[in-house]
Formats: sequence, C-alpha cells, structure tokens
Amino acid sequence: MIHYRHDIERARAPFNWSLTTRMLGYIARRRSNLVIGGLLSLIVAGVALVQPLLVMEAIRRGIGDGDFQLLATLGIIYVLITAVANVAMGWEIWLLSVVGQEVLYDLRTELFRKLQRLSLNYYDRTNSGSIISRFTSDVNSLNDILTEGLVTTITDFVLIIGIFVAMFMQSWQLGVVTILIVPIMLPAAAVFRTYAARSYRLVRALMSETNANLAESIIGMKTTQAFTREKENARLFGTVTERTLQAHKRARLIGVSIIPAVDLLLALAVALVLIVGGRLVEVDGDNRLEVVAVVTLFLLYLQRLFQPLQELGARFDLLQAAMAAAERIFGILDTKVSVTDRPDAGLLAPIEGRVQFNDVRFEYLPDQPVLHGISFDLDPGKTLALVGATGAGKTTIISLIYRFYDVTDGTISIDGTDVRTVTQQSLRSQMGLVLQDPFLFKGTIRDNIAYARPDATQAEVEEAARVVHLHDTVMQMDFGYDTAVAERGTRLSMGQRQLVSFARALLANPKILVLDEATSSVDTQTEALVQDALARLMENRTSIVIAHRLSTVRNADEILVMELGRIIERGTHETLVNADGHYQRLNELGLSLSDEDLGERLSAGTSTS
Amino acid sequence: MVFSVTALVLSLIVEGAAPAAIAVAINRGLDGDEGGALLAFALLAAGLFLARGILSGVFNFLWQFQSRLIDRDLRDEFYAHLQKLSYSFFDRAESGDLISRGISDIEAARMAGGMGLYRLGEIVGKYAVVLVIMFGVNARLALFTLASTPLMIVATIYFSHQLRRRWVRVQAQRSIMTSALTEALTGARVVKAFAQEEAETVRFERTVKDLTNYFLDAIKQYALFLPILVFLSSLGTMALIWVGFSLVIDGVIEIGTIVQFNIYVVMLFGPTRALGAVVQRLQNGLAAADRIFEILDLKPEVESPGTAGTCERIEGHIRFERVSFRYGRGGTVLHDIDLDIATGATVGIIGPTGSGKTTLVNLISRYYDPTEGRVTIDGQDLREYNLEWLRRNLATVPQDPYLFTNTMAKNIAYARPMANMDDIEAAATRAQAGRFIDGLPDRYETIVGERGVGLSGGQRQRVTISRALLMNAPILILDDSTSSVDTETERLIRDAMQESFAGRTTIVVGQRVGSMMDADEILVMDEGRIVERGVHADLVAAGGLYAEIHRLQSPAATRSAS
Repeated sequence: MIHYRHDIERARAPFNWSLTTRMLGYIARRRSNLVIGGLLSLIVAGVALVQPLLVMEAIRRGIGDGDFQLLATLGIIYVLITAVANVAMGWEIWLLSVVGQEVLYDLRTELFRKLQRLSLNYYDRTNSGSIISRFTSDVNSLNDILTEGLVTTITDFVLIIGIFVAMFMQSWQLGVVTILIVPIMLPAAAVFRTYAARSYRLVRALMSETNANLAESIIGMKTTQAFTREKENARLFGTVTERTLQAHKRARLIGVSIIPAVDLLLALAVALVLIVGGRLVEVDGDNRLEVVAVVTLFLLYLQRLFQPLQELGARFDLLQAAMAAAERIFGILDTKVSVTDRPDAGLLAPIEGRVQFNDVRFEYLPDQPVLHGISFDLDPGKTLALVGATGAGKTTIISLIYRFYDVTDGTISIDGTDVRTVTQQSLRSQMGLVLQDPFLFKGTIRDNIAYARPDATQAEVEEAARVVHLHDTVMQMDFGYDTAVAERGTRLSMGQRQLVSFARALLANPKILVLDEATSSVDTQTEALVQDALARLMENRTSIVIAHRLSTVRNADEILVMELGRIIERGTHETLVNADGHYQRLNELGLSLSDEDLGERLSAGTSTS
Repeated sequence: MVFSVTALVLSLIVEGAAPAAIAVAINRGLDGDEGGALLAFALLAAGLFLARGILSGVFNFLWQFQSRLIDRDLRDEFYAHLQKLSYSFFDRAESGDLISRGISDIEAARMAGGMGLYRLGEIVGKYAVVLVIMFGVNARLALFTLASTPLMIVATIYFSHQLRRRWVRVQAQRSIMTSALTEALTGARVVKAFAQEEAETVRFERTVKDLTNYFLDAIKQYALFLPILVFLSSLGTMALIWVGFSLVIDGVIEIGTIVQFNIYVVMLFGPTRALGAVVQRLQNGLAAADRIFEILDLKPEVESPGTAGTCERIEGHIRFERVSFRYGRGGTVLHDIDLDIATGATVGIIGPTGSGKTTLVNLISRYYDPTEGRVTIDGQDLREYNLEWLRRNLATVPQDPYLFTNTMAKNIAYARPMANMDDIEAAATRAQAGRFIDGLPDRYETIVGERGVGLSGGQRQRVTISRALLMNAPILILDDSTSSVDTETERLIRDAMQESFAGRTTIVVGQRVGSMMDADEILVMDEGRIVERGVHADLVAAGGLYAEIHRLQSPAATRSAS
C-alpha cells in the first residue's frame, strides 16, 4: 500500500487554461453536433426568456384590458413554445451526450493505444492500480462534466446573457439595479475559488489514492491472505477513506457556503427591484399595472438567473474533478515515448538473425551511463548468454535489441540493418521474447498458444504443443485445448504455464529469440522435457539468453560476463573456465550446482575476491 | 439525519413564504400609497430569501456529507469483505470486474444513495410545501396549476424502469472493459513480446465501443424523459395564465396572488428538471448497488467460527483423515489422503507437476475446505479454529512470489508491519536476501514493483522467504519456494531455518530431492495420491517413482542431459 503523496503535492492550479483548451480540442472534433446543439440551446434559452414575457403580457394587456380571448391565446402560445423548447432540449441533451461519449471513447482508446506504445520500462515503474484508476474514476469524472456539464453550461450561459438583455429592454432602471449585483459577486467568487480549489485538490488526490489502493489490493489478494494482512490492510485502507471523508467535509463546507451567499444577492436584488418598482409607481402613478407587470417579469427573471448560480458549488466540484482527471489522463498521454518510427522507416525484410552491437553506449538519464561501449557480433542460429548481477545491464541489452530504447551512441543492427531505420512492428514481429514469469491470458489454452498468431490452425497449435511436451497434458484436461484458463492461468501449475509460454513462442516462429531464462520450477521429468523443449525452441534461431542455469551457459556459443555496464569477460564456457577471471572464480564457487542464479553468484564471487 | 431533515423542512417553509411576502408587497405596496408597507415587505421577502439560502446551505452540506459517509462505509466494507473471501472466489473472479465494482459502482451508488435520495426528498418536499400554500391561497387555482402532476408521476415510473434496465447493461459492460484493461496491463510484457499491441487495442476498442453505445442508449431515455417531464409541468403555467388571470379580471383574486403563483411555478421548474436527473441517478445507483451487494452478500466458502477457536498456542501436529478434494465441480484433485505429521517433524512432498502438492498444503492453510474428510491440527478440526489465528500460526511461502508496490522493507514486514528494522534485516540475511538487497540503490527503502520487476525469480523468492521468517510461527510451509534459488543458497537458507525453526513443524514442497532428503518423512505424490512414503534411503532403495526422480537428478544424469 503505497502513498501517492506526490500526486497531492503535484496537483496544479484549480483552473488550468491549457488543460481546458486541450479538452475543448477534443470536444471541437464534433463540430456539427456542437453547432446544432448550440442552436438548440438558443431555442431553449429563448423560450425561457419569452415565458416570463408572456406572463407579463397577460398582466399588462390581459388583465389591463380584461381580454379573456388574449389570455387563452397567451396560454396556448405558452404551451406551444414550451413544447418546442422541450423537443429542442431533448435533442440537445442527445447531441451533446453523443459528443461527450465520443470524447470519452477517444480518450479511453487513445490512453490504451498510448499504453501499448509505452516501453516496458514504464510498466516497471508504474503500478497497474493507478493506471486502472485513470481509466475508471478519472474517466468517470470527465463523464460527469461532459454529459451533464456541457448541456447545462451552454444553456445557462446563453440564458444569463439573454436575461440581462431582456431586462434592459423592458426597463433600464430596473436593469441597472440588477446589474449592480454583478460587481459584488466577482470578488466573492474569486475568494471562493481560491479556497475551494485548494480543498478540492486534496480531495481528488486522496480519492485517486483510495482507488489505486483498492485495485492493487485486489490484484495481490492471495498474498494478503497468506500472510493474514487482511485486518491491517483494511485498517490502512480505512485511514485513507477516513482522510478522504474529512477532506470532503472541508471541501463541502466551503462548497455549500456559496448557497447562502448567492441567496443573499438574490434577496438584495428582489428587495431592490421591489423598492425601485415602488418608486417608479410613485413617479408614474397612472401606470401601476404596467409597473406591476415589469416587476413581476424581473422577479421571474431573477429566479431563473440565480438558479445556475446556486448550483455553482456542485458545478465547481464537477469542474475540479474533471480538471484533476484530465491532468492525470493527459499525464499518461504526454509520457514521452522515447522510441518512434522515423518518417522514412521501412519494413525490415525477413531476417536471417544476425545481431551486431557496435560500441553501444546507453544512458537512461543524462550523464548516468548504464552501458559503456558494448560490442558483439552474433551469427544467425547462435546462442549468446548474458551473465551478471542485477544492475549489470543485461536487461538493458535485451531492451535495446527490442528497441524499447534508442542507443545513446553506437549502432545495433540486425542482418546489417540499423534497427532505427525500420518500423518497430516489422522488427519486433520477427523476434520472440520469453520472460521469467509465464503470463497467461483469460481464454482457452488454444487462445494462449495461438496468442501471436490467432489464425493458426488447430493442427499447428497441437504441433507446437507436442514439440514442447505439452500436448499430452492438455489432452488429459476436461476440455482439451478448449479448457478455459482463468486470469493469470490460475489452476494450471507453474510448470504447465511455462510450457504454454514456450509453445506460444514456438508457434510465433521468430528468427531471434530473446529469453529471460525462467528459473521457477517444474518437476524433474518435466524439467528434462523443458530443457529439451528449450533446445528445440532455440534450434535454428539466434538466441540471446539472460542465463540463470549452468546448462544454458555451457551450451552457449558465446558468454558475456557483465559488470556495471561493461563486458568484463567473454568467450565460451571452456575458455572462460580456464581464464583465471571472474567466471573461473564463479566456477570454483559452485559449478556442481544444477541450476542457480548465476549473476548473483558472480557478484558474490567478485566481492569476496 | 434529524438535523438535515429539520433544515430541509425549515428551508422549504421559508422558501414557500417568500413569494407570499412578495405578493403582499405587490398587492399593497405597489398601490403607491403604502410606501412603508412596500419597504417592509420587500425587506421581509429579501430576509426570507436569505434565510432560505442559509438553511438550504446547511441542508446541502448535511446531505453531501451524508453521501460521503455512505461512500466511505461502502468502500471500507467492500474492501474488508474482499479480504475475507476465499481463494476459490479469487480463482474464479476477474480483478477487472472487482475493481470496476469497487470504483465505478460505488461512486454511482453514492450518487444515488446520498445525492439522489436527498435531492428526491428536497424535490418532493418543495412540491408538498408549494401544494399546501397554493391550496391555502386558492384551491381552485391550485388544482388547475398542478393538474398535470399525476401525469408526471406516471412518466417518472415508466422511465425509471427503462433507465434501470439500461444502466444494468452499462455497468456490466464497464466491468468487461476494465477486465480487458487489467489483463492488458498485467500481461504487458507478453503483449509486447509478441507484437500484439494492435490486436489488444482492437479488442479493447470493441469493449469501449459497446460501452459507449450502451451508455448512449441509457442517455437516450433520459433525453426523452426530461423534456416530457418539463413539458408536463409547464401545462400548469398555461392553466395559470388562462384560468388564473381570468379570475383576476373577475376580481376573485388579487394580482399579487398571480405573481406569487407564477414564482411558485418557476420555483418548481428547477426541482422538476432536477427530478429527471435524480431519477436517472437513482436508477444508475440502484443498478450499481445491486452489483456491490452481490459481492457483499457472498459468503466466504471458508468461514471462521468466530473469535472462539483460539488456544494458548499451536503445537504443530497436523493430520489428514481420509481427505478428498476437488475444485468446484472439477475433477478430484486429492484422493483419500491420510497423513500424520508429528509436532516438530519435517516432511517433504515431491511429485510431478499437477500431482496435487500445492492443493495439499493449501488445505493446511485452509484456503479451501476438503470436499471429504478432515484436516486437524493438534487434534482439532481446522474448521473449528479461528481462521485468522490459524493462519498467523502458519508461515507460508507461496509458489508465486508476489511483491507489492512498496519498499523492500515494507514487503518483508508484510505480515508484521510493526517489525523493527533490525528484525527485518535479520530475516533477510537468514533468507540469503541481505546481500542483494544491500546492492539495491536505496537498500531496504528501494521501491519494488508489483511483480517484483527487476528482481530475478530467485531474488523474489528469497524476499518472500524473509517475509515468512519474520512471522516466527510454529508451522512453516514452503511451497516450492526455493525452486529458483541455487542448491547452495538453498542449503544456506535451510540451515538458517533449521536454526530458527528448530522444533517447529516444517513442510517442504519441492521438485528437488536435495531439498528434502534430510526430512523425517518424504511423501511422493502422483495424480492426487500419495504413492510412496518413507525416509530418503528407504525410498531410494524401494526403486519406485522417488528413486527414478533421484536417479534423474544425480549429477551424472544432469551432466548427460545438458
């Protein structure tokens, strides 16, 4: 349970103009819907303006002239225009909701695409809980403002302007009185904004912490139960939710203070209109009904005018939530993808599998080199074993072959072609990666084997399974290849999962195989089979292996012993054993071992030397 | 609760009174001769509006706070309940689905439970107050003005049903989307390795597309509902203009009364519009609440008998009596296991992949209950022990080493959060993890990722072993937990354990004969049965499966295989 304090500290200004324009950019993509929706909102607002005018007209002329006919007409007109306005409103809600949902669709898929493009390094640093909460709670926050906010904001905006215009047209005196309220409102709103923004920011950060915690807890639940951390976790989660609650309390206290403030202004306006109305009657006594009609109109307008203002607190909450959400979503979208295809990048032609590193230097951060001039030349079909402690640079080399990063200096070429000159897709689709942790997807065994080639025939799938000695096991299962695999492959034993991941790599049939050697166990019989399967998998393929097993280094055509980003020894097992170097010391330390974490052994060996 | 209802009622009464003050102001004040009355009533109206503002502010705060209380309680309860559910549930469940329920559905339920219900109260209250006042002032006029209300109720009921159905579908789809996402994230390495980004994206986009369509389908109902509702309420104003103003001409009512009624009608406009939103929220929230309660109502398949079932201390005598087990309706995984592990004994379990070793030890930790037979510790059925207490007495190192996104120290101290740094380092050292941790950039303060990225399998295993060592429990279960550690390190770990676990019951599940050859008893499992048992020498001599495994693992065999 990690605390996302940096989120709290980093949260930026309450209203961020660049974020807003960026969001508006998404909204603006649906111009036709927006334009029609805007026109419809004009109708809605126009009718809302006319309704009180009809009432005024009824007072002024209907009552004044005692004209029953006119009253009936006004009543019918009232109903008709209201009907029109409501059809317009329904249509507007629909159109703008479509805009909102399409924006969300864009954001979700863009986020997902971005995540697919980000390199593995990103996943090493970021926990999935916090990413998931961006897709769920943050997108939900935007949803609220896009579906409800967009409609009401546009309508209210048009209405407020319309009301002021109509007021002045009816009576400039009363209009002036009403507009006097505005200057009082502005500083009040500014004070409110500052205080509210600060407290809402805290709320948002805490909520994202809550959600990320929940997500991670679900993903790691079995470990939690194994170590009876349930109560402690629930307690910790409880403290976060409690803090969130208290933060909400404070934010709300500020948020609702807007309501009496707005009503105070409304009260002032009502009193002023009535009193000034009274003056007008005194000045122009003959025309009492006229004044009553106008005063009524103003009172009705004032009610409509202040309604959106009273919702301001809630609206501000939505806006803040949306701002914070947009910031986090754009945070992912803006994560720099260090590796991009060049505009003139070609397709990598089908390769033989020759891999060359030519004086490759690399640094993740400026002036902190992790690789210092690595060179090797691996012929097609040969095996290269990388040996060294955590942090020696083995994973970096693999990442560079895959072009998850670009080299800082030097070149990496495959069959003589610089990897930077071809598209990533054409490069990676010719390589295969087998990782320590065999990951299975929800689906059938067949789906999992055919992951890289969904169009593979049943015969091909079975053949791949046979080669890695998985076929018989699968046939013993209840539904054979159609046996469902739950999330992460639970119910399959570790060994079975590993064999599935081999079959998967085999079916993909890459020319270059990159292997972070799996060290987790299978039984001895299966182990022999796995060794055999591995040998077959590496047959006729260029293989680059982060080695943990002695058998692997023994069979490698070349071994690179690495330390702190440098190759300190190289050669075959035989030459290195006799070279009186690190490898030889390592050899002395424990070559009788059947399998081992070579890298760490090595560093242990060097540190004692 | 009482406070907020009081605040609501008061604010409604004040709100209802304000237009009445305006009516008097207009009726008397605007005649021109009673300037004093005008001023007085104008100020009274203003005062009433202000009072309304304060009261409705209080009410608003109270209901919003209430909704956050509900939110917190739901989240806490959901979280705590998940912790209690059994392994069998998590075998079936999808993380994405649970996450979606825990985040999106709770949010929707909060909106409904807090905001929705309270606002509904506010709306109904407003209608009631206006109704009473209108009828009090002029029953006939009131009747006309509010004639369309029954129609509004009918429309509300109809659309409630429509909306509910659609929100159910939206939420189910949201779960599907979150599951697709969760998988793509947790399996990111495999996706990349096979260049399947495009396929994953297409799959994900399909789920989002469906979600968008379902959502819009629900919104379509709302876009129909709201205008109908508002239109029906406007019929009242028409009646008011037509009938009401005629009454003024006839001299039955005063002009101020008409203005008053008009303000009421406008006052109801906001709540009517809000009613549409509230009904929408409520239906969304009720559908979501269903999904939350679905989880909260799940009974853990493995349940604790309560706080009872703890005793002074567990000695560590484990017995299996005719135990059979199968997962759900699957095939039988364990057949008729009989087993007696004496206190302080070390037992090894070996056998091919899928032979039921992990299942067997999972029954000791009571992650599952046996389908038949019983498992006892110190003569007492596991089902009679308090579950938490039982597991606190079992230090288990699971097969799959899972590290949380947190510091190394916090990960080791996972079972004993209060452990001090010396104990943590001692545990790490004994598990042979101390040296590589010292090599990490921030040593014990280094943040490690959720799958322990950057650490090798062996390193992760040693971290989880440190975790178990720190627990200091009478029974230790090592489920294939040194498989990625070389035999030399494994021996060092075992020596350290023997030191600290002397006299404790130890069960070692493994693949290597070397891990268990010193054990007091070795069980050889195959296809859910114990096929051989005995000490190392006897088993080797017997020439069965164990002897075969032993032969395959002897240095000569390893060399010829490689």
